Order: sequence, then structure tokens, then C-alpha cells
Amino acid sequence: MSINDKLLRTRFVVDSGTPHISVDTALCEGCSEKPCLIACPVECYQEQSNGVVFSWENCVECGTCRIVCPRGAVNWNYPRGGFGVCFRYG
Amino acid sequence: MNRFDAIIIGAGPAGLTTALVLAQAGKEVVVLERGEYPGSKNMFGGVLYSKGLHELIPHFWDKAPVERPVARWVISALDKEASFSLDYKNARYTEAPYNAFTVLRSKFDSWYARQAEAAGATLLTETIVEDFIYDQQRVVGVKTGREDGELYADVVVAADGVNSLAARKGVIKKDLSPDDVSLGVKEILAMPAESINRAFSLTGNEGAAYTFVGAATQGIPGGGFIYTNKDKLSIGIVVKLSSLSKTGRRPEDLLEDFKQHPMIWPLIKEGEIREYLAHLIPEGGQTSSKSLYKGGLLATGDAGGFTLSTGFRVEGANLAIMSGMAAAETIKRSSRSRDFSEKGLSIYPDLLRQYGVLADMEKFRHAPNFLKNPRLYQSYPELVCQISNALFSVEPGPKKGIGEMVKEARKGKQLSRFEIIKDIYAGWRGLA
Repeated sequence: MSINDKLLRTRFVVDSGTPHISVDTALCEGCSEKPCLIACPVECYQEQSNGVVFSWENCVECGTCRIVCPRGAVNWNYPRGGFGVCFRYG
Repeated sequence: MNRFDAIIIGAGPAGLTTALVLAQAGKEVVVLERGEYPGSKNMFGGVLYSKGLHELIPHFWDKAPVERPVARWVISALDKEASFSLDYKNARYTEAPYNAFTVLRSKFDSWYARQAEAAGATLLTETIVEDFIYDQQRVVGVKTGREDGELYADVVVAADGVNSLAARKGVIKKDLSPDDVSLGVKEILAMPAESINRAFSLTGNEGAAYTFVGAATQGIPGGGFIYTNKDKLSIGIVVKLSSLSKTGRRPEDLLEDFKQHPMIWPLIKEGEIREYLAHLIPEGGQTSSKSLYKGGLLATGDAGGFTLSTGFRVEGANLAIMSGMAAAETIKRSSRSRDFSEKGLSIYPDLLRQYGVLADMEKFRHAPNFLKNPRLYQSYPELVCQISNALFSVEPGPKKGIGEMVKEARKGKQLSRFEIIKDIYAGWRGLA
């Protein structure tokens, strides 16, 4: 089962407004390790031909990318109050 | 009204404890929770030790939505296709005052919030805190995401978890590094109670707590766990973030491999996934007392870094509750002298010690270092499984003595006798 299939079981209250996390991908270009690609447990970070691409839709707000990024490229915030992941069991 | 005696950021065990105790003492407190309901952003492995909460709400298990009292504790060293287990069961663990319960956080935290509200605390959900408000270096309030959302208080309690705003803004301590945290990924599997009882050798409402080292995380420092709830399993892995990013293995793949392991799959095969979750765990070891408070601000629970792992016990939620009690007591004392300055709150570390939070962390201060040893997660689990194999199997040729078995199992593991003795000493120092 892929992570996307698994995440169909996790409830999200999607905020169509501004993303809560933004990544300065210009800083990623010189990064040799790119630990975000490995460590994010919901695969929000993907490497494509034009570099690191971040999509916030699956974010479970764990903070891994914020801490693991060696370049300080991740501008990390929580979603607005009431939005984002909403665990039903926890 | 936008003025309170105390503002508490975060409706988890730490913040709600502080709120409950202060409300009982007649203080005006507000708890700010960013989620839709308390617990909606919270995750832990699955076990709550009873001790702290029982002091605050005697016999809480009669009222609280706990899952099962943990009767069986199993710790296993996992090799690729074998396991070696320590299996401890105690009938007393299924009677009051109990030792520990499995818990699902969204239900439990919501219940706990209702207790704080019943005592007089105000709960504001869907409310994010964006920044602190200062008056000459002292925290005097918070700016929330709501319109005209500035709130003021004598004291603010940061009970906002591992990614605490206080750490992110560098208010009371330096921010976390990959060496200070582990990442936990977890699934909730629905499984009928009878199937759980059959798979985990349980009767009635008895619960089990299984932890695994070795192949559970493929040698990465950390471990795997399975906890039995009433009709659901909590299964997951915890991995040191600094080691994870070096291995090239994704956490979600490690969890899937753990689930498929021949020793694990038979236990969970009837389970159907209901939720996938991930969360960070602060594991920096001993927290420096200085980083726990400043003028007008106290840090509790994960925000204060209060977790303790000795390999056998993994504590977090109970330390959060006890740190919440210590924070509330600190605030009660400070309000008598009307001094919420850094000096006025400086009794907090002593109270944390009295409530057992810092005392335990200081006592086991060598445990985090011992538990960093990579041999614990690869060489030793393989070693015990290989020695067990030699002990239990009959093979052609002359039988070997135990000494030969150990020597053979040590081969290729770079485990010299000296290293083994050193590790045993470190283990004793860390846990004794």
C-alpha cells in the first residue's frame, strides 16, 4: 500500500489559502544531502528534473523537514487554527 | 475579556494538567488549542503510566476513555527471521491502581480537556499562537491568529509540544537538531477484540505492550512497537532522525518492512488500517534547567523536553502530566508573591525535581548516551538470535559449547570481548 493510499485514511481539513510551509528551493540546489527527500514520512518532498519540489497537501505537521534541513530552506509554520491534519485516533 | 491569570498553549497532557490544577485553585486560565479538538494533532506510541494522573484524578480509569490495562510487557531482539524475547506478565497489573494503560489520544485528550473545563478553565480550540507579547523582555501575553486575538496574562505556559513556538523563536532554548529528536511513524489497525486476544495471548480486557530492537528498524537506533487497544492495534517504529537521513531508507518503508517481518505479520494480519500518523519525539536527554523558563514563561511536557527512555520503559505522557503539576505549583507560588519574573519562577526546576520529572531524568542521565550505541540495534540483536539458534537446533557434527557458540556468533560483527564488556558497563551505568 502506497503512502497516498494510507493517507486516504487520515483526515485532513484542507486550507485552500496560503500553504503553511514554504521552501526556498533555490537553497536546495547546492545541497548534496537533501535529507528531506528521505526523512519526510509523507513524501512531501520529491526530486524532479527542475530540482526539489515541495507539496504540502499530505503534511502531518511533524516538523521533521524543519529540523533535518541543513540549509535552513524550510520556512515552517503550523496551518491556521482548525486546519491541517486531524487525527481521529492518535 | 482578554486578561487571564495564565495562558496555556496546547491542550495535551502537560497543558491540560496545568490548566486543571490552576482552575481548581480558582485561577482564570485559558487553554489555546490549534486543532479542531484536543488530541487532533497529538500522537504517542500508546502507553500511559497511571502514576501521575492517579494523584490528580484518583481512580481516573473508572471515568477516562482508557483502552486496556497493560498486563504483558514483551521486549524482543529481532533478527531477519528470528526473535528473542523477554516476556513479563503480572496479574496485579490488571487491578487498581494499575501500572499503565494503552490509550488513543484523540479520545483521551478530549476527555481530559473536559475535566479542565469542568474545573473552570476556558478552552479555545482552532486557535493558533503566532507570537509572544513582551514587556521589557518579559512575556506578558500571546498574539493568536484570531481577529483582535491578543491575550494577556501574568504567565504563559508553553505546552505546545516538540515543535514548541518557544523553541522555534529561540525564546528559552536553542532549537532542536536531528540528534535531539526521533521520528515516530505509526498506524492504527482495526482488529476485533477476540482476534487481538488470540494473537497476543490475552484474556478479557488485558493489554500487551511489545517493543522490538534490531531488524525492526534495520539497525537504525530506535525500535518498533505494538500496543493493543480494545479493538485496535497501535503499530509503529521510532528512529533517530540523525541516523535516518544517513541510511537512505524512508521511514514509511521501514514501517512497512516491520509490518511484513515474519515475526510481526502473524500478530497483525487481521488488522485493517484506519489511520497513518507521524510525530517527533524530543530525546535530547537531560534538559538544562536554565532552558525551562524565563520571565513570564514556563515550558512543560515535550516543549520542555521531558521524555525518558531506558529501553525498558519509554515515558513521555506521564512526565508531561507531572511537569504540568510542577508548572501549576510554580505559578501558584509566584502569584502569592506577585512575582512572575525569571527570578520569581526560578523555583520551577526544583519543583520539577520534587514531582519526579527532573529527578528521574537526572538519575538516568547516562541512558541516552548508552542508547545511542549503534551495536544495540544491529550486532547485539543478531548475536542473541544466533546464539539462540545454536542453542535450540540440532545440526550434524559435534555439538558446540556455549563459548564456541558465542565466538562464532561474534564473527563478522566487530564485537571484541573488550567492546562487549565496555557496553555492559555502559548499560549498567546508564540504567542502574
